[in-house]
Amino acid sequence: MKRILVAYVFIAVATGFLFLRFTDYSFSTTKSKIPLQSEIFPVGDGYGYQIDLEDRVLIKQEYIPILEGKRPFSTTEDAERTANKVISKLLKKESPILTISELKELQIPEFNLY
Amino acid sequence: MKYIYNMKGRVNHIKMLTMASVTLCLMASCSNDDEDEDLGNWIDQSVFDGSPRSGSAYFTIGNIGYSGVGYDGDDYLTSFWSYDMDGDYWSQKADFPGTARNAAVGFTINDKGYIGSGYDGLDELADFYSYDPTTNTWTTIATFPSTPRRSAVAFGINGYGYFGTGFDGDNDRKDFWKYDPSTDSWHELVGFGGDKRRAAITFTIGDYVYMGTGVSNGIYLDDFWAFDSATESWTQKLDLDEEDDYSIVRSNAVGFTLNDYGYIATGTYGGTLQSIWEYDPSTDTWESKTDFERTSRQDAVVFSNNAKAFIGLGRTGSLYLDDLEQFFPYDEYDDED
Repeated sequence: MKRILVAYVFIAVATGFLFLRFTDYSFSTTKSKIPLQSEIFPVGDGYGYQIDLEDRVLIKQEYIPILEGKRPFSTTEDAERTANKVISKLLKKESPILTISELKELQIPEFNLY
Repeated sequence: MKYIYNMKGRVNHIKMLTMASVTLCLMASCSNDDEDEDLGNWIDQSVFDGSPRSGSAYFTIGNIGYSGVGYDGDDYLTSFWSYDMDGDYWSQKADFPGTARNAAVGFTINDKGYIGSGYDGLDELADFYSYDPTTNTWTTIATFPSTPRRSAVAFGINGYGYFGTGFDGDNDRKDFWKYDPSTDSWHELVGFGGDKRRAAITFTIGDYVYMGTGVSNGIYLDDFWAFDSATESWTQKLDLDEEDDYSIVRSNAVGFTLNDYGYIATGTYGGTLQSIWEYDPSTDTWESKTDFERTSRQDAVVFSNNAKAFIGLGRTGSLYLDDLEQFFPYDEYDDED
């Protein structure tokens, strides 16, 4: 009886492990199979970014989204953090809309006022 | 007796173990299959872009299409995007400054875009805003002075904006109004002989704006009108069910112009539609074109500048779509692309 119990516990653990492994596996597959990349480029006295899918430009952001006027990002790091956020949303199959709270979270200084 | 019981028990356990192993194998293979399908679908559909939303307002200025506000199934939105028809990419622009809404109208007057009216989930709206693409800024303009409404039509021509029909929360409307940007004022325009309606379409060919389709009290309208922008007068054209093989009547469609022909595409008539009809203004006749290739939809957006046209961002039932497709009316149908 004890041996059988051990067998069940083993199966439960193995199932859990395999489940995790496959989830993890599929996640990394998603990542590697959707070749989304960001590029940072200079605009005026700041920086913009673009999101590429293979040879195609999906999004080209010369100015900070949401804000009125044409204000580029002040640093390459700001542009890069924002571009990476957009890519992570696309990989999760979410809409690429950025919101004020997300840009605050990314610590884009232009959103400190909001 | 005990021995037999144990035997039974063991057999059962062996069965259970086998089932567990089979389940594990199935899980493994299933998860692999799913992964492949999802990926394929996503890349196919996602000639992606913009954002999945419906009832967005849109307008085109030069080679750039603009689309904003809308409803994503959970929230009414204020985000606003531009689509570069030549470069085939999107940018997120300055947020729409009014309340988040859908079923708003969009139109262009002299290289500025306008979005106004609509529905915020509780009320019909009457506020309007203009967008200047050279500065990426919004300006509040005069509020529409009559009944707030949604699902109206609007177009810009000859330096003026025109706005009419729609649903005010209780009734469908048939009044038309004119917006003059030089004085920032609205005036009612008399002379539209058609019935009240909501969710109609317009398209512009030369100096004429054509208006038709839409629905009122569950009845789809079949009348079709031409607005002469020089005299601001309406003329009735042949009905949209004039010929037996026409199936043009519908609501929540999109209207656009390409190479001086007019088009009515997608929308709903009972269910959502994929069909596209082409209007020849010289003969007042319609011809069916190749159906929209993607999933059928209503409340889509269209960007067109008479040289190019792109349709996308509508909904089918509760599934929100986010792809955009260029329409080539004269190309042979190719299901490979």
